[in-house]
Amino acid sequence: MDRRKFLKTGLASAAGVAGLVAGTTSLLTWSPRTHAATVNVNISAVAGDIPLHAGVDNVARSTYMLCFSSNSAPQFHGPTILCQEGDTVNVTLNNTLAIDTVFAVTGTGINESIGAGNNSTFSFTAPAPGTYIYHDNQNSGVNRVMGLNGALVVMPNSSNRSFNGGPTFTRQFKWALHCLDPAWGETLSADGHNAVNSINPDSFNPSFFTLNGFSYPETHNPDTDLEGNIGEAALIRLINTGGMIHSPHFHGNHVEITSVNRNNVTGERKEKDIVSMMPLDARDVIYPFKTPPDAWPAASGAQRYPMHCHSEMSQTTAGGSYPHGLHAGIIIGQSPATEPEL
Amino acid sequence: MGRKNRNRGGGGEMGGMGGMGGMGGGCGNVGILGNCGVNIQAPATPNLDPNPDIEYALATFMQGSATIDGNAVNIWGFNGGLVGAGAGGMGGMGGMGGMGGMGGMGGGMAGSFPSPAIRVREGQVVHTRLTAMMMMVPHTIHHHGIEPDAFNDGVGHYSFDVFGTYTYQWRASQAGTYFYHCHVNTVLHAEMGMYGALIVDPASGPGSASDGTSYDVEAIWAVDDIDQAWHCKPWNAGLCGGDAGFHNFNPDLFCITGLGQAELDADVGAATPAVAITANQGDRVLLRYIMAGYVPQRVTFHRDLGDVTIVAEDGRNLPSRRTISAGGSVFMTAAERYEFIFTTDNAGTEIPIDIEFYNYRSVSGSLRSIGSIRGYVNVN
Repeated sequence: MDRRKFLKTGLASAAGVAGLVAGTTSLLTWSPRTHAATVNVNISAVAGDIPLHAGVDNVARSTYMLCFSSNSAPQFHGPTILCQEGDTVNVTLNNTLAIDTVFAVTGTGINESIGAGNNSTFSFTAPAPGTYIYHDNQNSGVNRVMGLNGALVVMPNSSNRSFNGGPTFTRQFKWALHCLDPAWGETLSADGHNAVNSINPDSFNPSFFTLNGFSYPETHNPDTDLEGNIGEAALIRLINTGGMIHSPHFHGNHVEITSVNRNNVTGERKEKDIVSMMPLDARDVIYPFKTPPDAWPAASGAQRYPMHCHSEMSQTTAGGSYPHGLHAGIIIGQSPATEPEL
Repeated sequence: MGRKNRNRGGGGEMGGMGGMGGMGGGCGNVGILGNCGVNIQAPATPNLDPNPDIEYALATFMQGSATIDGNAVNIWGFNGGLVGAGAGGMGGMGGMGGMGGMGGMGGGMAGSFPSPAIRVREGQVVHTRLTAMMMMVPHTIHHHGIEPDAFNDGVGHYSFDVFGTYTYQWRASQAGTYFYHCHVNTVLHAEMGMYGALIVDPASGPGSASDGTSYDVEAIWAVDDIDQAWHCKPWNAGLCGGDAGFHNFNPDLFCITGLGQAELDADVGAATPAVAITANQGDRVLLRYIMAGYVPQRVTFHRDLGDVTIVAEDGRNLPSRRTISAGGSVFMTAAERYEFIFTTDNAGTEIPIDIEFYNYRSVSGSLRSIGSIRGYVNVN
């Protein structure tokens, strides 16, 4: 309960940051512009304890993480930056860590280093429309997996699709796939932030698995569960910020692959019930919200399904508590009471 | 209470309800009702169609064993098969017989690995009748890639887990390669072998791939990774919390359709190999590949097999076929399915199809191999 409230605060703040331009990150209120704008983003690199999922047996626990935060409190994940192609994005990054941090963006040359204890502002031009991960790319990914990551979503000019000529959709979701090894947090907590330099990335053995920072059933929240009426297609921006190769499996409908690491599908789209996700991958898919095709007789009323990673280790918490892991709900046949935020 | 004994079928463990305390696992609960998150029911099927086009009956077993690369591995699965036309149906009923005896070691307590294939045609209304009685343990059948209404999807947390008998009803809307598996404590039950192939042929029946391409030879491979340390745990391990070690998967055995390397090497020389593909020169081969493991796999086709064409993935035809040049490979992750087509222009024996397995943990994004297995094609 506390954790959810805590994280929701973080997400709300994230929306507020992007809101400097967009008002909200919900597609329903996203207003495409014909002109570029300036987006100001404030991020702090902070360290601290983040609550971990309690599991079926309700064990209170936490882990020490390094975070990009929209405020001074630890936040997992960092705020989603929403902008439009060509926008000038000014990032003020206040690094409170005892180590240098890096703000790099996948698939671009954006790579800014901010010294320990420094507060620095840098700018970049929003790249081509698509889903990106911003992350601290040091130490072969250890810093990213420790929590220094977030999503950068770039919308196209003059369109509310994910790219010009792309598919239409009613809602868009961001799904950040992540996993945590509390042993790494203990190392940093005990030995200081510099210990990230000596952690062997191959020692990673995650035991907590999250989607947008939550494990099932806490994923049953408006920003993560997919919900919609028949025909209300959703765009899902999947990013893998963690240290595991994931295999998300969708029940109810196949998804249509629309973009793979910002390579956009302009022809007919491949349909999959599995979406392979390497670390640092960003894949956009359409969940069409069609009537479940194999129901007999035709399904009536709202239908509830899971999306879960089929690399089933990710369906656990601290070694058990199936299915308390990287798992969300899908509700076909009813519109959500609360619109999702990215 | 030794966990290792639970699945091995000592008669004493099956001596009636008293045995159920042992099966309760680490939760201190006796029997099936006290297990966290399990919603046990055996309801009537809503809107049951009295005249399905095809029906399968499958009963669970939990005391099977498979020899994989020379190692005896505890296996759970489903017995049975097609109802009516005969074959296999009695296997499932054998499972019932063992249950009725409560202590007998009937043939229904063990079965094949993987479980028998379900094979239907596009457009058919299908009944999959699951009987889960063995060891007093609930199970489900999720028809993976098939998209029925939620009640028939076989996911307990969104419907119910079956103890007793339930008939899943669905209609096969699209030809393709699927599989089915238990969705109770899936992390364990799928690993224990509770899966089988699920093939939806085109309406015309076997003989064509999902996109209508005809074939001369068909093979179905389910390629799996096994961590032997996971194969002696109670069915409900971890369901009530605690550390059952399920975050930590370190496979030490690999298999194609239940055969490890040693068995594959023997199989390829058999008069009628079970897994090795046997074709004549010039045949068109359809390989239905089910990625049944948890860690990523890379499948490499020997150059002598020529170009390999993917016509379908995950039970859906590709918008445009994708051709892998001779000697090429495909990387895949858990539970994907591929329909590969190649023409055996080059004669040869033991032409390899190599599968590399990788650690699922990758912080840097690079892949670390943890094992491999080689399947074969004989071209006469």
